[in-house]
Amino acid sequence: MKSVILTALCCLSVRWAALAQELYINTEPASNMAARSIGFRMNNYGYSDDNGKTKTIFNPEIMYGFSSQLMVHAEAYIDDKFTDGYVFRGLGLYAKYRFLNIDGVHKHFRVAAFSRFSDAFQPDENNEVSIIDDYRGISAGIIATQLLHKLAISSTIAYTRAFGTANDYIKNGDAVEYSLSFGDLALPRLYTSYKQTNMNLFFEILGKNQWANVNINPSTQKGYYLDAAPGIQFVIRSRALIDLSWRWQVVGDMDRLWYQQAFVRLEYNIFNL
Amino acid sequence: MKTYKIYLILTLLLVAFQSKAQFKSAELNVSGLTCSMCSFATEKALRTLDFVQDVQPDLNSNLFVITFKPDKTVSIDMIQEKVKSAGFSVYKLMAVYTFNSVKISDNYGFTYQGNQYEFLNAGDKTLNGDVKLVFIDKDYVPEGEYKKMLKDSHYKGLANSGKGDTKVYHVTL
Repeated sequence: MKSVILTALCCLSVRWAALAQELYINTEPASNMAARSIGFRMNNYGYSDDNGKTKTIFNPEIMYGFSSQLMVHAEAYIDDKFTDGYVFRGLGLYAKYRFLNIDGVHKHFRVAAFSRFSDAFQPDENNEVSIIDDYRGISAGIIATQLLHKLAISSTIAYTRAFGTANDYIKNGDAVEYSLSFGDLALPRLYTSYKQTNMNLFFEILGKNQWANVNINPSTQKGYYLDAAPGIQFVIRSRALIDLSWRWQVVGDMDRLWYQQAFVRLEYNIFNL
Repeated sequence: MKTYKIYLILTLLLVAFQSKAQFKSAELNVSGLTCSMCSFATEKALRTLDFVQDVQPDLNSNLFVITFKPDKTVSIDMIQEKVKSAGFSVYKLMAVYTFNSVKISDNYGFTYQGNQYEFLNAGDKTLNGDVKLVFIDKDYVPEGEYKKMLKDSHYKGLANSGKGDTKVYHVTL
C-alpha cells in the first residue's frame, strides 16, 4: 500500500514539475542558508483537541548561517495544548552541517547531518516521543536532497531520545523518524526579477516509529504513524516566505494529540549581514 | 573657461587611468542555484566585495554580469569564495582584461597586482584591448571537467600553483 502511494506521488510530482524547489515546509533540506545570513520564522500549528477546542503552538525561530556548511536554529515553544492559557513550554537548538555537495547547472546532490537538543519546562501529557514543543531530548539524523530533472526530492532519517519527568506521561522514549519530500516551483515560469512572487508546491510524507516507556502502569508502548502533508509556499521579493500546509495521518496505531493539523509559517531572511 | 579646462584634463586623466591593464568585468555562471532566493543571496554576497561596482543577474540562466570598479584591485579568488559562502559553486568564470600589446604563449602570461596569470592551450599571440579570459583552475570549472583537463597534455601547466605569496591563476581564451 505504501509503495503504491509513493509511486503515485512521484508521478504526480513529475507532472507538477516546472522548476524544483527544496525550501520544504515540514522538513529541512540538506542545503543550508548563505553564510552570514539570518532568518526569522514564526511557525504556527493548529488542531482541534478531543473536546473540539482549537489548540495552537507558536514556535518562533531564529536561523543563522555560520558558513556555507554550518547553520544553526534557535527556537522557542509556546502553546495551550494542555492548558486554558498559553505556556512557555521550552527551548530548542538545531544545527545542520552539510558535508557533501555536488553541484551541476540545474541539479545538485547534497547530504547533511543534523542534531537537535531541546529543553522542556512544563508537564507534558503527549504520548508521542517528540522533542519539538514536547519533551526534553536529543535527536540526530541525516538528510539527502537531490535535484534532478527539475524535481527536488529530499529524504531524512533521524533518531530521537526523549526524557520526561515523573510529572510527564512519558518517562523516556526512543523514536525513529523518517520523511520523503517533493517540491516544485509552480510560478513563475520565467524569471524576470527578484521581485516576482514564486509559488512552490510541496508534498511530504512524514513517519515515525516509537518506543515509549510510560510513567503510569510502567511499560513500553510501541507505536507508529505515517502522515501526508501537502503544502503551498509563496516566496516574496526573494526574501520573505509564507508557508501553508495541512497534515493528516494516513496510517498509524498511536493515541495522538491530533490526527489533522494546520500549519502556517511566516519567514524573513536578511542575506549577508 | 578655466573650470572647463580642469574638467577636461581630469576627464582625460580618468580615461587614461581606465585604459590601463585591469580587469573590467566578468561573467559568472553559478551552479546549484534552484530559486530566486538562492540567486538573491549570491548577488548580495558578491556586492559585499569592495571592487564590485555592479551585479546584473540573469535569473533564468544563473548568470551574473559583474562590473568592477576601475580604481580597485580585483581579486578573482574572492569572487569564487563569495559564491561558495552563499552555498553554491562557480560553473564558469570569464573575466574581461584590458591588454596593452602583451605577448602570450602557453605557460606564460602576465602579472596583475602581484599574481601571475598563465595561459594554457591558447597558442602564441599578442593581445591588445579587451580580451575575455576563461578561468580554468579547480573551483572555477565543474569537478569532472577539471579532472579531464588534468589528464590533457594541453593543460599540463595546471599543476603549477606558484611559489610563496605569488598565486598562479590559469586562464585560456
